[in-house]
Amino acid sequence: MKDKISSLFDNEFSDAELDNLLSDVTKKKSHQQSWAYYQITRDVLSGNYVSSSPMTDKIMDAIEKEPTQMGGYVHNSSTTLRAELNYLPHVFAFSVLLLIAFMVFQSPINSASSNAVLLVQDEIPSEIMQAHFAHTATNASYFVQTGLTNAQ
Amino acid sequence: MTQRFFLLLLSFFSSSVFAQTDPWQFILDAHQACRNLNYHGVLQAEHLQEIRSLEIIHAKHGEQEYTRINTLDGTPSELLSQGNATFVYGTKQDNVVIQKRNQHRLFPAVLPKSTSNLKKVYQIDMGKVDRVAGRPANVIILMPNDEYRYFYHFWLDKETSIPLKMIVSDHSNQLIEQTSFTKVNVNSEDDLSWFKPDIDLSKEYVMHEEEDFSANTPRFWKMATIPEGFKEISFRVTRISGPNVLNHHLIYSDGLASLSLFIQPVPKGQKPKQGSAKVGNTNISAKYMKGYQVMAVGSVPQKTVESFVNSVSF
Repeated sequence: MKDKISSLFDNEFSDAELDNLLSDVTKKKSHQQSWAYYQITRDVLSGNYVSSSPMTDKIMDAIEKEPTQMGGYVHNSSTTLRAELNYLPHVFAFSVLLLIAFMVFQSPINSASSNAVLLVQDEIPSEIMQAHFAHTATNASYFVQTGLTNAQ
Repeated sequence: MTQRFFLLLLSFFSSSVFAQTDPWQFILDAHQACRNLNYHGVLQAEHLQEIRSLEIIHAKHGEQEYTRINTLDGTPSELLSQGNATFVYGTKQDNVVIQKRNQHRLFPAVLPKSTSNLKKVYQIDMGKVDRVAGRPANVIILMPNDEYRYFYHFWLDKETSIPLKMIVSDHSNQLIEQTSFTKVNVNSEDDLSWFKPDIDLSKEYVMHEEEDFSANTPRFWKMATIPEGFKEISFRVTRISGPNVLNHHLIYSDGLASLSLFIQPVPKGQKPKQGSAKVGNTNISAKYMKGYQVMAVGSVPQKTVESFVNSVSF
């Protein structure tokens, strides 16, 4: 059965054979596991693998985590720009309020230049080291075992 | 006529001898061998005072390269690579985290396809024939012209040119990094049944993808002169989840040595870092400018990471 499922993922079956195989797969737990195995293998290698977390959670998570950027992150949505132009006076007034609020609560980014501390070995951000090894290591051990710090 | 024949024969003989003794040709042969040959072996990698054993299988099937590397010690993890697509499967608690990586340059496939840049910054020399993993090997040493990079020693298989061992050492002859095959078998099998991950269905498989913002991010910094031979080979912009800031990650390489340059805003409440430090044999240099933390990290001399950090301005 494992060979048959493997062949299925290699597109080696006719429609009739496919129907019979799918019917068999649903009957036995071990066949279902083989199905899951080949599905994960194929989807990852083809770049189509999606984790099982609900999509809505992911979307809400992405909105919440919209990153802060000082240097100028460029949004490329022209429709958003047109909508904003219609409400320009309101946007201006709101911007002034935002500016005042910003001055009151200060920037979320640390811009004071005098409070830098000496770099010490134990306080080097792990994500920096992980990102470095995950993209430059010639040592396979480091390459495969780094980069998991930020993983879910 | 006879004279012309002998001249032609002499010319052919000379070029053959030159091709065999030009040490730069060994580098090119090694690059080709790693890409085109099928091999299966066990290697030991030493880095940051740790020694780990790994199994590697590589095959060329049609025009595609297939590689599988799995760790034999510690937490199970493995790498599957098909052409330019590389996936790493790492165990984390009860999950297996799958990460896609853009590229990899892993032993034995560490030598570049061109030697032109290497020739600008390294001298090359040959050592005595040695023996590694039971196989005779030619020893090639790349010696830097300056103090911005380390010495690279390669043991190249006499029969196939595959690197069997690599040692990186500093200017005081101290070991920085070492990777070596303990066993290797070169074959011509046309079998790809090994090219699949060890799936454990009792674990949940989680795809961990980092969104790359580099296409929409302007380069708001300037780079002054950097050490000769180093070129930017990658630029990525990712989000750091905790402080929720964008991290700009640039990678530079001279063909052998490589380093990372990070530029990221410092969140409120976090103290920026300045100065230099060392983790194992990896050097780090940090500087704080106009709200940004600039940090260079690499298995290169301290002078090199400092040079990169000081070259950044806003």
